Amino acid sequence: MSTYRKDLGVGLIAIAIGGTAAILAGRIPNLTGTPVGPGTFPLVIGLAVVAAGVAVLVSTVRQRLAMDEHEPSRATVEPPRSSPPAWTAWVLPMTTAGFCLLAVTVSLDLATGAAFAVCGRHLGRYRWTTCLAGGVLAAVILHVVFRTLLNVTLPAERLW
Amino acid sequence: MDTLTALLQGLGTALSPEHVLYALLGALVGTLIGVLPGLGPTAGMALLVPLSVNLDPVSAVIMIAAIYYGAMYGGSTTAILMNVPGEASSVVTVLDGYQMARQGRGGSALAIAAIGSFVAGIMSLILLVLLAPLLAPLALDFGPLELCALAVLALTAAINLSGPSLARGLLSCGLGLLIATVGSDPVTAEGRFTFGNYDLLAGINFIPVVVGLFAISEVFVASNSGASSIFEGKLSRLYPSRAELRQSAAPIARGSLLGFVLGLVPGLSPAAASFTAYDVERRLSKSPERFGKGAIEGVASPEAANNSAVGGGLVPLLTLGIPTSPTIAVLLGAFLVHGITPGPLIFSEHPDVAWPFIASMAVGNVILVLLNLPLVGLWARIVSVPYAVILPVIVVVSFIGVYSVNGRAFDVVVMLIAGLVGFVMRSARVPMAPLVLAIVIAPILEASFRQSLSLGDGGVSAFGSSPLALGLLAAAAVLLVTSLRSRRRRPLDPGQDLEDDF
Repeated sequence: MSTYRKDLGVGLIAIAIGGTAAILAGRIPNLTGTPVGPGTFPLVIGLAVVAAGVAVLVSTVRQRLAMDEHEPSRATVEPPRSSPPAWTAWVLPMTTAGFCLLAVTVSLDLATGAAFAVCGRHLGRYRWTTCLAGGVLAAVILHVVFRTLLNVTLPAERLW
Repeated sequence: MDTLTALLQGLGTALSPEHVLYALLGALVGTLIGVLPGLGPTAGMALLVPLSVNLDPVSAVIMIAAIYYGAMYGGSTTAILMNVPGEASSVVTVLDGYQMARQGRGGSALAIAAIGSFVAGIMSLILLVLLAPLLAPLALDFGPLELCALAVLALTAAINLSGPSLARGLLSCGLGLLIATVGSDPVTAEGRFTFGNYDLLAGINFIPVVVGLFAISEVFVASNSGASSIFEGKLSRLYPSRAELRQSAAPIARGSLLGFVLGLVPGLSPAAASFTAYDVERRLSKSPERFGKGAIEGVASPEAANNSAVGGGLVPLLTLGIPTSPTIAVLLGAFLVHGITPGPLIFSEHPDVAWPFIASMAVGNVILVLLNLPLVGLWARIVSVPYAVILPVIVVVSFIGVYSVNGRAFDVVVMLIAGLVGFVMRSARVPMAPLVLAIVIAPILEASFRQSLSLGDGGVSAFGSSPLALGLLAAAAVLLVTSLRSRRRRPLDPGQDLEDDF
């Protein structure tokens, strides 16, 4: 997506978020008996976010107009970007989400081992056996340090 | 002279092997707590106060205080090396510290953070001893009007961290304030933006948001970068050069002074001190464009400020018995557990505890610097560890840090959403730092804002009755206008890479 469109998007999203917040804040009942209720502060902030969104929009449009005037070629031509294949960009976000889901619902140790193995394979291109051994080692270290030594509050283990 | 004698006697007590050992233990535990996002100094100290009950009062307060500044330093280590701020005041260290690490200068950043923290700790100790009786009444001058004005000033400083676009800074700050208002209203308990969800009724915790914005979004960015580690070249220098030390000297001194003064103000977190110190440095710099790209002053000054704010916060505690922050409140609890009430009489009734406690700040800071400087080389090499290893470490540590605070899966969901939002914000060049400070300051801003409006029957007229509040608001306006002018001369470059922004 071009920078210009991104900036327009930022401005519009800000106006939508700020406007929605201001409308919802205005509907919060004020039972305090004073002019200042629970909705006053979010109402003011919502309006400020709308103002910021409008400012982003105005500056984006002004900048675009100025660029069109001085450097028409630069405003229209976006430099091509070399990026890895689209599916690889999703591996780490999906691994992160999968790790959290597995850690909360099944086992943090298992999730840790799996996360290390997947990252080792995907990012380091190590052999699967190396990745699995690394995953097991990471899970053991995590278990000993956080669950046994530090006794930190962690999700319940449902595997063992 | 009496003060000096008492301080020297206190130093003698603090230097006894037993107390040095407790300071060392506190500094070690504190560093470990600080490294882990989520378990900040407040939670760490609160967890360990009950364990200190069986110790003698001097050992207990020395250990608890050492945990405090140990955690402050530990938070900076992960902020610089992994873009994971351990606690709120480390967020601003991320801006230049992580960029330095990416340039292979992580060792210099860590060393300057250690030196800055040490110098600030010693300076704040001297200021505490010399100025405590004079400055203590200042804390009592801060009512809701002044507090609201000061919070506005701190937020204005944060908005200035927005890179080339002030509107984006304002937007980020507003989003942070909106996030902070989610949950029960503190006065009427009326739900705000909760949509009937019980988890949202308890509000959105600061830790999952900050960890998601910085650490998780970093994982997402790394997956697109194609790089094999945070820094792929050869580590050039593990310790700061003479030029870097010279560049950092004045920012450390300024950060120390500013942090101490802002630490005096009740309710203002050390994070506000570090954000303000960063903004001051950028304004004073002859080349402000270097900030956010690895300027060493951007590490030196905020690190000094957040450490010095600790000393500043002790002035109202020791002289008036007023805790100025949740962390200082836990420290107050540690005193009370041992039957010592901090306040005007502490120096006459319990000099055997008060002076060794103050002197132990110097001992603890020396221990921290001795502990951390030799390890800088080892820590700095973390940036060369392959992403295949470091990214899962970041994910696991972030998860544990977020989950361990309340034991809620909801916080993990918030962290993931914040990670996604952080990724979008980076792509759209919306700065994240103002959002973080806004979440930290929002409770105090909202409470003082509402009290101030109530004083003026719903209007802002009450601000006119306080010259201090008016002065602070005027300072905020001047900050805003001057930065608007400087940005007009330096328009936003649409071709700018997102790495250049923060």
